[in-house]
Amino acid sequence: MILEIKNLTKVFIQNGNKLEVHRNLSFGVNKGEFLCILGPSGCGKSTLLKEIAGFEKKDSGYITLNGNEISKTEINRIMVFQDFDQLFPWKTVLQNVIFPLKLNKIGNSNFEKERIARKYLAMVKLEDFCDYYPHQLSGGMKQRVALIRALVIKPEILLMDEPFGSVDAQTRDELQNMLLSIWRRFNVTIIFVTHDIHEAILLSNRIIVMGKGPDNIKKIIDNDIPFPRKENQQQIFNLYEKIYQFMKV
Amino acid sequence: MKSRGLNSKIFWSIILIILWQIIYATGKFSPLIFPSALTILNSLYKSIVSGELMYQTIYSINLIFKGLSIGLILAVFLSSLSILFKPFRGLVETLVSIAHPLPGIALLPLIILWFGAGEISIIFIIVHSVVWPLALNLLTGFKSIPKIYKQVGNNYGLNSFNIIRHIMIPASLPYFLTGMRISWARAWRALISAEMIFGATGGKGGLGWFIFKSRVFMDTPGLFAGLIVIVVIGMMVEDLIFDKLERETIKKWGMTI
Repeated sequence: MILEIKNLTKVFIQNGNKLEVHRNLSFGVNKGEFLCILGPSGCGKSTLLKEIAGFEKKDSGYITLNGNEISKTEINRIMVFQDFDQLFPWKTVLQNVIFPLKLNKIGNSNFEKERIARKYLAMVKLEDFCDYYPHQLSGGMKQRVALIRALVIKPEILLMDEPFGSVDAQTRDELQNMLLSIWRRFNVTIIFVTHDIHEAILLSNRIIVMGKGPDNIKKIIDNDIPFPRKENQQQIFNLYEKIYQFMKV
Repeated sequence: MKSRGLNSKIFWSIILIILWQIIYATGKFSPLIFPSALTILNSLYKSIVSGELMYQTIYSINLIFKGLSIGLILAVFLSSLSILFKPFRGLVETLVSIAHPLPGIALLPLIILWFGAGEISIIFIIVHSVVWPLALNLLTGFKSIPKIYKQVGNNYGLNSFNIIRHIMIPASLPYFLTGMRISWARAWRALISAEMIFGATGGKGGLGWFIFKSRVFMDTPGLFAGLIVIVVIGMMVEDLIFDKLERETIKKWGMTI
């Protein structure tokens, strides 16, 4: 187990009212797995991801990575957001990807850094867009750059907060396939938050189904449907139906 | 697009000069108050050739450059401090709200009292004209930076100082440029007014003094020549410096506000 979450509790104070986001949440994440956290909006799944990333402080409980407790953001856990604006608009695509390399002194020379960045960008078919600025790209392309910028420093865990939530269905298909091939290639651990049952089934090894209310892990479901998964497979329909029932209650 | 704007300005300037000349030709006004456009251009040419106008212009530009630099450094310093240390923000915001509405020229009597009528006083007024609008814009710019940039920066390992350098400064550039535009315009006005009031010390008085002196000697064409230089410098700074800076940065990055 690479990441362990134990008795995690998070409370928001809003206008003097206490709002419990989750209470005594516990689960583990295995190395190399693709874990989807599935739930309706407002169930606290994004907050949970932010706590794992280190953006949000937990109120009690533990989050440990390889046995060490997490207290702040670190480059071993990189977040990819839903927001298209996560790229820096003043940097080109290539500069955006080189930025984390520079910060963390990966690659000996500038030439080497650029070579690494270009190699990674080619994995998501963006080698011809290196010198574009983010505002010149489509939403799907921006998300690909964001994914590559996260991967280029080889995080142990990739945290994804509905990264494909704002793109059209066709682009989403394409991005999901790219993500799966990257996941297989790098053997990176992925925690992927979504409210889309279908997306969770297509991508994951395991699905944590969350509901509203603080005691909110409804079910943890293993998803061993073999790849490649097709939209119209019977197994997918069955799993969909099963998850749908859990989410309804 | 760009060159069409310039062409249109040149075209209309020529039309206005012709209109001016027609009004002059009617003879309704004394040349002492309404000289011929040709006399003005001739006077402009002579003052440039004699070096007088150049000398005063360079003097003024030198002053404004000093004032702008000091004001810029101060504004960046104040706004960075108030981002880094929360209690400091209240102080800076109070200072801005007190000092920002005060026209530099309104402070002149006080400044003369404190520093006398010299270069220091003029620079002080320029700094005053620059620092507050710039600090205000920088603070607004810093506050309007999407949270996600800082989160991404933190995630990739930036510390507070580097967040300012790598994220807050480029991300607030649109506001910085707006602030610089306002500051420049204010400083330039304050400078010319202050020069008129202070007069020359040792022959150096700047453009404001040049214009003022021309009136005293009833050299109306010279007065207009000074005004033309002010206009041309203003246009050049706007078109050559600010527009170019915008095109090379925030417009290219799609970041205009």
